[in-house]
Amino acid sequence: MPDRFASIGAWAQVMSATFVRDMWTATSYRVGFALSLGGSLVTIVGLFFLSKAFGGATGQMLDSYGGSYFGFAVVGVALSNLMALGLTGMSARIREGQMMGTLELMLLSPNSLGVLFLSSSLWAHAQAFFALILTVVLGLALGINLSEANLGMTVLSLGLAVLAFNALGLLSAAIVIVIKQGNPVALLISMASVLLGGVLYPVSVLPGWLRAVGQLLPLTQALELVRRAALGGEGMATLWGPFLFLSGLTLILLPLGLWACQQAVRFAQTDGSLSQY
Amino acid sequence: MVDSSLGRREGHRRMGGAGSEQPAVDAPFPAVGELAVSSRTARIRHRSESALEIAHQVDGHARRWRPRVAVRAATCQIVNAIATENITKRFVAVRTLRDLVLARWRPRSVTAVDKVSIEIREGELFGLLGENGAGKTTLIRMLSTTVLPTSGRASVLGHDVVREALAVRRVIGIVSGDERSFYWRLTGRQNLEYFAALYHLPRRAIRGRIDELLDIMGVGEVADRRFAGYSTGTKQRFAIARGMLADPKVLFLDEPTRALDPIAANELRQHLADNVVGRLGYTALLATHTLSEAEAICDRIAIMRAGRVVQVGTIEELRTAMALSPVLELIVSQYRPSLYDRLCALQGVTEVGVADEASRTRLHVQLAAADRPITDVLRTIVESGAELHSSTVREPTLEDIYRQAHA
Repeated sequence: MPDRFASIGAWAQVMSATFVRDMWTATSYRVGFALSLGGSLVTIVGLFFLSKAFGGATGQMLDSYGGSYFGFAVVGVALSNLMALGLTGMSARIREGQMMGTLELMLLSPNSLGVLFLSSSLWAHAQAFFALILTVVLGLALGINLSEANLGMTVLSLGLAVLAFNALGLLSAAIVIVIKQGNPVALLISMASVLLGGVLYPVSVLPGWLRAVGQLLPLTQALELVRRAALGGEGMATLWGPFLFLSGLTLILLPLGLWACQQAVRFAQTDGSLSQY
Repeated sequence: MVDSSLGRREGHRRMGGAGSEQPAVDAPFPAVGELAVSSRTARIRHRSESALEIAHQVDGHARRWRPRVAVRAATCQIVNAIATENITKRFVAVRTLRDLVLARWRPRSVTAVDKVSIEIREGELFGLLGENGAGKTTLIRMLSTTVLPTSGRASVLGHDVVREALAVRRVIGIVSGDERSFYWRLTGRQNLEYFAALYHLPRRAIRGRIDELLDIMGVGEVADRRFAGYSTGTKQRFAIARGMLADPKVLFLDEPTRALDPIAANELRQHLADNVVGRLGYTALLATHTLSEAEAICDRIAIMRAGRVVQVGTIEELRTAMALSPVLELIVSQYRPSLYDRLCALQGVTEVGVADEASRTRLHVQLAAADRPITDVLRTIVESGAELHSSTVREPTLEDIYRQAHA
């Protein structure tokens, strides 16, 4: 038991040090830091006007999501941003480590790959959650109705979604370790998610076969869960289906992602390309 | 293969006996320095005194990050810090369009390290010498677990580099000559704090350890400036400090002076010899292609060529093994080309080198081991009509050994 506590302490130390390192780096680029926060807010204002212009045309398609297109689209954009971050956050840090020559040094430390890779996107997630809070505040100011929200289910769904997105991120990181530049996995998943996940329109408008393909994407399930919990006020009693599906997907993707990263590092060690970029 | 001076050092370490319960301060280290007779006697004495001093500190519950040497003093075991057995690395060459056109389906491979077997003892500063592409960096990468060997075995402090990679990483530090590998937007101190956390140094000990290393490396004053603004020499000192952060038992140094000017390189070399290895007693494997660097600070040297180790030993052992005898260095004027042929024809002369220096000519005459026809050489020069300005007989340097190994 003390060993387990010791290793949890060691993980926490690595994670907090990585978080602080990225925070110092990010805040040293002051303009970039401010722009990254401001950018997402501009999108929300744009969605507000889009909703005012065409929101009435959605009919009954959005009833289970609270009925408002603005709320529907804001959750869609916020979650797709989280997915993009989960998908590319780690691989971007790894790519940065390859370019800066720090990756090899990180991998030389006595830490597991999972801890090193997952901790590398912690700061980016903190930034994303801060942006999410700003989005919610701005959304509330512009008229999103969250009075019916099931807060517990919303938070649980968000947590599960982040875990699923990061599991995909591990696969994407594995690709970057091997092929360095260009990431077909991230590109494919991002494109499929934006088209079939229901970010800006409900998946019910898609043809049946495309809708079926879309159901396999973590973003589709995550959007269904968060929208129905936050905008429709539903709980586990009605959302257990997508919740179980997303949990199952995460349980498959997470170990698969870790295994892929181990194999990728082994490949790079054999190939001698760990320090190359 | 074993340095005679090292043998003496180890002989005295044995006196305590493996697993001896003698207190650290009673370990027979002082005698070790007294008996060391290599060219680095002073450094060895310094190292042993330091070990004794540190053992005292530990006995008196001194700082946390110093016990390693004391443990070694208390147990007095002789262990190979690094051992390799026929370790080989072959990289698969990238396939070109030409390969595809000519239907060369079998991948071609490039052998970077070829059946290398070396043993490096604890506390030794071991030099890996070789030209670019000789396999030094690949060997270091295999030993530090970032490259997997194709065949053969290697261990660091008894841990197999493939099967026990995590255990190996806990006991090693690595310093490369590459300026990258730091976070340039952070300060030097912030960088070290991050890497200290990666090695799980206790939070309370981190600041003290970093201050100690900054002091040793002489970069304390600039530690809170952004890394991007440091000179190359300062960056390199931070790289060494980082390599020592977790108090590793073995330090790999891959051309640490590569990017430095001669003065900075010399200072860094001195730091390595006096502080890193001398005072703190690290085992260090130094890869370099600077002959003077290896000659100045290494206990033993392995010369690598095309992935193979062609010679291993102290400079003295290499001289003996390669049967290199003294070299006659002469400065003459009115040199005529026919003198070269006449010198080469002399019995006992194995090699003659000629270099023009302004109005004079420098002659480098390698003499055979058994025969030293110095009189014959001098007579031949005078008889040729050349004027002799100076003559020196010197022992073969590492450069002579290196040249011979690559002949």
